[in-house]
Amino acid sequence: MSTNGDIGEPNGWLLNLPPNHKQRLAATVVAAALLVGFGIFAPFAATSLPHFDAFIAPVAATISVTDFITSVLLFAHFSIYPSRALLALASGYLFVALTVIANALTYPGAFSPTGLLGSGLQTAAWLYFFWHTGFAAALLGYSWLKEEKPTKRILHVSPSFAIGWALTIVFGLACGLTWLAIRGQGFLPQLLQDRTHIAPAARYALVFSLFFGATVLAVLWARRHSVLDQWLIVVALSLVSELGFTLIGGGRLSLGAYANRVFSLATATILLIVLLAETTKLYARVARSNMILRREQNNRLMNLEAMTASISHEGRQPLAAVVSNGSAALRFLDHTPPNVEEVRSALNRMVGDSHRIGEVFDSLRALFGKPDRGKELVDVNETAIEALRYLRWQLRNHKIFTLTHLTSELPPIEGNKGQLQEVIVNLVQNAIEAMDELTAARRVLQIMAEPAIDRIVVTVEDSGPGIDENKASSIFDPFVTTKRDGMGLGLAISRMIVERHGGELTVAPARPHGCIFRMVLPIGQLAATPPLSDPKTTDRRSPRRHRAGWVWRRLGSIESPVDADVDTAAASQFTTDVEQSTSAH
Amino acid sequence: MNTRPQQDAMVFIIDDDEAVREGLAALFRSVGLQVKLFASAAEFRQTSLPDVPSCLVLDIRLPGLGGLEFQADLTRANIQIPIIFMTGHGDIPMSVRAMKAGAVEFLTKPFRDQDMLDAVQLAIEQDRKQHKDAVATFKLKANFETLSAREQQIMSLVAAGLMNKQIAAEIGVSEVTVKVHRGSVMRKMGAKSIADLVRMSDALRARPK
Repeated sequence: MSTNGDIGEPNGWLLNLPPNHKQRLAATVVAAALLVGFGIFAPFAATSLPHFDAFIAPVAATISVTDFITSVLLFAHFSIYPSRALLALASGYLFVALTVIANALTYPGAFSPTGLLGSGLQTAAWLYFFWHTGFAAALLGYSWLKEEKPTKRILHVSPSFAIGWALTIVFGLACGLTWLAIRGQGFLPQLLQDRTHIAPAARYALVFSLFFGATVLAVLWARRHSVLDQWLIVVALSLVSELGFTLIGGGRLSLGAYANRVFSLATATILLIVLLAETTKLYARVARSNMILRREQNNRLMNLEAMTASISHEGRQPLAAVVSNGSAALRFLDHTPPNVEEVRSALNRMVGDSHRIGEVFDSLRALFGKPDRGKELVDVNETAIEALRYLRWQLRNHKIFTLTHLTSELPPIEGNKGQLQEVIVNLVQNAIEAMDELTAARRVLQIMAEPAIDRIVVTVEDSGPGIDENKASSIFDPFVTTKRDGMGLGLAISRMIVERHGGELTVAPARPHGCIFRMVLPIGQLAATPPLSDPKTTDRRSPRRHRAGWVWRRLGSIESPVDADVDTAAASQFTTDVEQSTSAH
Repeated sequence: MNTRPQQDAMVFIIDDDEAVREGLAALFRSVGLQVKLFASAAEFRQTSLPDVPSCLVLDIRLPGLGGLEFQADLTRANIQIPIIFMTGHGDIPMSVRAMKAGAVEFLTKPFRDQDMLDAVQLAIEQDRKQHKDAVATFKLKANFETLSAREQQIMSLVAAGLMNKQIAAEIGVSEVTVKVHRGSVMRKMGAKSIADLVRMSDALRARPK
């Protein structure tokens, strides 16, 4: 297991991965096609075409559905990788999905001669303006947020909370702007002279949108890094072309107006197609690496099996000799007269063979036991936090409410951080599995670390069914397991690691149910006089007193008792605070 | 400790581990068996087998030729010697194959001494019987060779259960002549009764060699 802090962090592949040659080529081709299309039709954009209002509704429906799907995918992506930039982009697409519907409904001639919702002549035009400016703003927001400082790039609230707020804001904004476009006809500048011709004010608005779009395009270009960036450039290009057509077309029955709608479709679909393609590719990659992982796991088991077999063979050889010599000696003693010479030589051989058995074990130790490997000063709190970070997705998936009580400024202990982390990960994983049978609301995991004179006590407590008392004594033995697919080595290895650190690992039943694993580690000799914190945190309380009393606040700070009900909302807070505290490190 | 195999029996031990060889040798000597030790199958193949009941005790993971391969090799060379396999691994599939190929026993190291000695006694008994049968068949065959062609013919007809009169009719001689031939067959083959002769005839047919 790596102790790298990034572990368990799904990388925002779309956001962070630079495009490869093929992806760059694809984007270039699409961009070129858009430009060529624009180049061909732009000169004729002002050409008048006959009325064809039936065109509006299906195009709007398509754009709306496509943008809605795109926003769902982006929100989903955000919930895995909570980047502010993604949230902005997803919101932008959702905004377009909603505004397009409003635009189509109020469009004169699309559903009714004057447009629905009590709209007037100007409503649809204003919504068109809001739609394009809003989308451009979302693109700008994206491009701005993705270059923020790493700590600010990631949102530190639960994704569902953030998405909830984004939905509310976007929905409110879309409704508000629709209302404005309908009600504001009295005071908003006129964008249309009549049903087909645009007013001079519309030119200003369009030119503004066009410049805004072009600025966004430029910003995106300047800050292009990832696959997503390059495709958003193409999207922005399409958006600018749309506005260009409208401006040149100068009216609703021009070729430009129709071309504009076609390009709107392109603007809407490009990212969806890219998202689907990349997701499928990613899925294939995940499936493949999953397979590789499984194979590796199998191999490891096979290796272990082969190793065990060869070790047992090494031991059985001399044992067979000892048994044979021993039995021979006994039989020679039974002879009349006893054959003392044979007995002596058999016993001599037995002594030699027994030494050989000892050597087998010595060589085993030499093979695996390197107790002093990587000795360093280890911060127990940090180790526990990193272990929890590593497991945070698992904790979240299993809906486990995690309470932590880590005393600040614990003196460091001496040992191997990776190994100690492995112990905590093992214990927490055991706890997660133990609580699987409980209803989600009753799954409580408590982790504590506190000093005790010359030791540090770390406990991991679950609210599961607890351990059968008969099994409690054998739970640390190798190859003892209650799991269907377990090897029964986790706790044996954990105990070995802790004992190698001069500590102890024990288990006791928790009240009212569950069990507490208690790891006691001696404070490092290398450490200067241990800076124990104030007496309040050093007194040793029984774990019982902490039940549900401590909620994860800031890691490493002195614990502050917060009487919180055990609810799932608080559980999600865990992830957030891990992020915060680690970014503060 | 009731095992007392006959003094004239010999155990061949093939194991690449010297300690195991020595231990086993002591064990077999303690019950009065003769032992010969080999580190590999090739070494074993270079010695000639003595004319006493014997058996092989060998590790299934022999260096060079594997234990099972060696077993097949012996069968091909028509060397019939009972085999007791040992293993430090307890490989079930291998033991099944070994037993199917006619091994006497498959023991996992470390084994109980009594198990090993029982297996060796069984193997030696098997070899002794095999040896006796082989000798008897050889004698029988030698006797049969001394019969004239007509006598051999009459022996097979007698064994088939035909009466003298029927035999005479079958081969076109007088009944008296059949009686004379039959008497000489009984004498030459050393058969005490007709039943004895029938058994001999069966044995000859079972082992045509």
